Amino acid sequence: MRISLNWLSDYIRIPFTPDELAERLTMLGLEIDAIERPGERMDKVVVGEVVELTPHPNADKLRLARVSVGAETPLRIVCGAPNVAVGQKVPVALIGADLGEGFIIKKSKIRGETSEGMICSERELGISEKHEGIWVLPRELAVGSNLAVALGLNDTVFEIGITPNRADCLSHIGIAREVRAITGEKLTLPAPTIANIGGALANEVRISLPQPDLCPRYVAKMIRGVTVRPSPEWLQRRLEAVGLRPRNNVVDVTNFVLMECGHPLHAFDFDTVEKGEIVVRTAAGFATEYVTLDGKTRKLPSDALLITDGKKPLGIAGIMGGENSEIRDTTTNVLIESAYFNPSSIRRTAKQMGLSTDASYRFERGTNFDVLMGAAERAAHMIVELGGGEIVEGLIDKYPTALVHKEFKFRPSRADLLLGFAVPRQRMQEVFARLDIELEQMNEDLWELHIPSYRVDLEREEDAIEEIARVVGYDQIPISTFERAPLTGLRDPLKRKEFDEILRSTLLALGAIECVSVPLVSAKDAKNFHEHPVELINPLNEEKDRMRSSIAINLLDAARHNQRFGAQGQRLFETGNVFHYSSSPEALGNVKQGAELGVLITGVQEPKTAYNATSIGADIQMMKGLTEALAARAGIGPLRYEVSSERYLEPNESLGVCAGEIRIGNIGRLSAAVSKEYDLRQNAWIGLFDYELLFQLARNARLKPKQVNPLPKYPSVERDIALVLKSDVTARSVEECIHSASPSKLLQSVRLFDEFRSPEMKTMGERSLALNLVFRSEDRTLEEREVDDLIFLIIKRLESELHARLRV
Amino acid sequence: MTLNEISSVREKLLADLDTLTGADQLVAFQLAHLTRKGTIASMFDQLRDVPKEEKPFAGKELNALRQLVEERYKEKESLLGATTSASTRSTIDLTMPARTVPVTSPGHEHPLMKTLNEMISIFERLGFAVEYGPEVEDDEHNFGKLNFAPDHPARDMQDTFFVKPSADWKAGETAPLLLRTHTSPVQIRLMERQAPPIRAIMPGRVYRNEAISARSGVAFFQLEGLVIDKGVSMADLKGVLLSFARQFFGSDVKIRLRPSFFPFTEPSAEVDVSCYICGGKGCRVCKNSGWLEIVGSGMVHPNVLTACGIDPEIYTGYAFGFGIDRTAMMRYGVSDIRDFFENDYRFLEQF
Repeated sequence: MRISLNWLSDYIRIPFTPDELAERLTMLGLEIDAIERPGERMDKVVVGEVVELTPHPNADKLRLARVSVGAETPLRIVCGAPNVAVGQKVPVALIGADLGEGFIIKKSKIRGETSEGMICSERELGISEKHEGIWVLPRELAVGSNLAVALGLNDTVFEIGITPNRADCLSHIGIAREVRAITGEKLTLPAPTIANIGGALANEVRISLPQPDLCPRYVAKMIRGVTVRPSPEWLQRRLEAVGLRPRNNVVDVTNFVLMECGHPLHAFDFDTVEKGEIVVRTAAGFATEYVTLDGKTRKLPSDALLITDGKKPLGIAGIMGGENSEIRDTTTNVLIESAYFNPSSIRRTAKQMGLSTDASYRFERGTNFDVLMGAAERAAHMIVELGGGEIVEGLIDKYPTALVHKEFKFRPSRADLLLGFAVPRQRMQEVFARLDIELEQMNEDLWELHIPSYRVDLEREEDAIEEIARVVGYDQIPISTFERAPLTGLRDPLKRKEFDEILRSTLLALGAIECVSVPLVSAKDAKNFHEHPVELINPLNEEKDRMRSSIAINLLDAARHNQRFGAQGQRLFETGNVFHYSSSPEALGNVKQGAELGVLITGVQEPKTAYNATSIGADIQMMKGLTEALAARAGIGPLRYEVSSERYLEPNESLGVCAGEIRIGNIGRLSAAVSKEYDLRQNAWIGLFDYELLFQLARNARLKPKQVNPLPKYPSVERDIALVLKSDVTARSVEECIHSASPSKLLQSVRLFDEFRSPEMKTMGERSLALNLVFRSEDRTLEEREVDDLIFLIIKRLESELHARLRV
Repeated sequence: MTLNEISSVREKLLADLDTLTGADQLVAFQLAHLTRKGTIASMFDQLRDVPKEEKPFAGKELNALRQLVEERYKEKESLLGATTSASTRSTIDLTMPARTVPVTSPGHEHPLMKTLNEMISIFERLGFAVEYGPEVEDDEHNFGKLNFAPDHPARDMQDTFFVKPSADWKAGETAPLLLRTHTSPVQIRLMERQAPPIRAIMPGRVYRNEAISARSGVAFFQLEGLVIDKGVSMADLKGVLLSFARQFFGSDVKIRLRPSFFPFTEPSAEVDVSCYICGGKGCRVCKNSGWLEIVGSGMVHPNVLTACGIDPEIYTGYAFGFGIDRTAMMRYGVSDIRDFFENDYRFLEQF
């Protein structure tokens, strides 16, 4: 909302500088977004009169002007504009004038002739974009006067962000009332004489309101014999200051009244109204489309409220007038509508039609139903003043059922409680008086408040308490140091936040980068990870119309992005909710939502450094390493791997990860098909874990602390063996075989520490595995010979079961 | 054999290595060039024929060649790891023990999560529990019980994404679900579940159907707080927020409350903190105002309490809500909110 300080000053004295006013209004809840000073560039710009014009001796397109600016001798100014003429009033930038962006007028010579100033165009003065010629000013301006003052441009315009509850502040009088709340100064408001209801007008116009719930009140005035023409300069400037384009005197007056008192009016060409009938009804069964005054043909929702003459629509109530009834240059008889419409109805129609106007913006927020007659009269008088003609005697006020004025109880003690300090009762009364709120004291702590009709936002006690607080000042509320509400919430052994920290800190310590992504994805991407991703009804665009079905989608996007910017290796993770439709009903529809942890590794994981001669790339074993580190830190495990058949993973390079019998996630190499969709140049391994399950397991683990093993009393004996095996003999089967060959409890651990393939082995489809075996007894020191026997048995078993041979 | 010949073999082998795409090709390369009968070994054999005075140079070059090619070969082998053809892929032994994850640089915490977690920690120290709720919500929790009337323009403050409640849903069947536009529905779910006293914060992700720009995205993070008890006042709200602000922004910052509007609080206030960059004198970050807008707040609206079965005559309370993204932008001097969601390693590695 744009508010002109000059205009505002018509209604109340303002004892503040513009900056102070902005600060005071902001602290009252009217946030000033910007302050503009349109006349800023016109400090040294005055009204001049061209008294003489001679050709420039040295240039065809330039002329020498003598311009009187009130001093004894007229100024000599070189001018190139084609439209300059003797007798014109023109804006003259004097020497020293600062036209902005470093353009300062100096005394200069142009092609040998002295120029003592500049005749300006509108653009040069920052008024508009017009630059075809100089700005020819109205004749009545006094020569020598400051241009900004003469045109009312020495103004300050505030851009105010009005919250949706404060419809009453969408006008200059509305803001003036807020200034009064601060200063207590008197308001000076226009008070047009209000004609008697009925009169001659009743013979010309008949109003019917078949749906009084949608249009509870309709006031009309009429002017005959008006001349439609441009508005005077002052009115045009006022409208321009608040961002409206001047059109003609009739439309401008309705806009002026709108910006003055906040009530939207509409003016019809009365000659287009058949038989003087006005019927306010819905579109259902009457019209399906209509050409609005912007020339667009619009579809009408069936419950759209229309102004009609019973035969045809004349406008869309409260939103926009129609082309067929608009004020034209030839219009002479004008019907002014000043009505109150149901806010919800206007909002629904405006939403459905995708049409928001100054009028609908106000009607849908709620307008002041008590101002209708005053606004109509104000407009009628101004139109006659500016366009001639005569007001038809009388006024129509169709108002079947009076709208209710709000009143509610207010307890000063309740305000003390909510605000945390006691505002003196007298101060409270003063605040209410400044806000036009009348009060009746039932007793000392029970008041009844009568709310003015323009305050649509005040409905109950707490609203009034806010009024007290904001006028007295939020800065008056003390700072309490005592704390209400003792610690509540679940006394969990492991809080979600704490668990989250365990996962994050583990992954961060493992050198991973944490990602955060927008969870909106394409259907194609979502379907890679779940068949039934959750769908948006009104997506921002078709490419982002599903909720992510997996964190992997975002991680792959990130990997693609970073690959493009030269990342050699990536190690990424993200946690967040993922979504899909489940066949069983969930808490909300069929939408299954819960958190997932996603990890992605690709490319170089350890670059070549001074300490390692070759770089190390990502692989499935590293993904297992990450998984096991995470599980260990979270207290989950031991882990077990099983076959995984997720479509997005390569079938022979993926594993299901289980804690006991519970499958907590899948790890593996991204399938070639999906990898291709993301244009990944390197293989990517991903791990996707059910965060909710991990959390539950970690919480259970907290409740069942691990019991320690007693420290060994006797020393252990270690042996390394190196085997050559067929490549398809798995490491696990080797370990299992070793364990099965040593039934006693003497074998403590088996650790695979080397894998080796010589070129010869490769051609034979073989590889070598080296294992470290640790033996220990709990009741004695083992002898070398005992261990040798055990090793012999183990090797025999390996030879017979797995066709292994010792590598020599 | 001349030095030139050695260097041309080097070029050729390195170029060949680059073109290898599978394990079988790797094997072939190794057999052809790196075994005892391979190209490089046979070049060592040819050293015999090199004139005596050139021998040391050629030997040195050959050794360097072998080292380089073997190094590059191993790199290639580990990179190709499993870029293997279908036939060799089945031979990958998934039961091999896990590899220790090499850590060559510290991990990098996402600035949004860093900011969010620091804020959560401060409120935890102030005795707030942490509560969570669903991102796909219903109208009742996101709007209805928060005192948004069905056709009220306040809904325009929050452009909403609507969600099909099931895969085969048709318009008009049942009310659509939506992506929560704020974390406030978690307040409602908490109050429905638990009687006062309540003191909790609710961090989480929210969604707005708005054009994406440097200042606003479609998904961002909020942290809300809710305190309900007998006798809770705006003075308590001020006390908690001042305590938070001093722990988070610095021990000498000031706060100020300005009247504002939210459907679910009355009275409502925007809370500004004095600019911690310039100390309130005015700078680029605070747009010369000396103040930074950090949180919306107010006393919980009686309609909200009533909707959750709490008697507003007995209990009062306050609520507040931070935008994490804006806070993190101020904190780290990030000028484009989209930087947070690109996951660009060059951005994230700075944290």
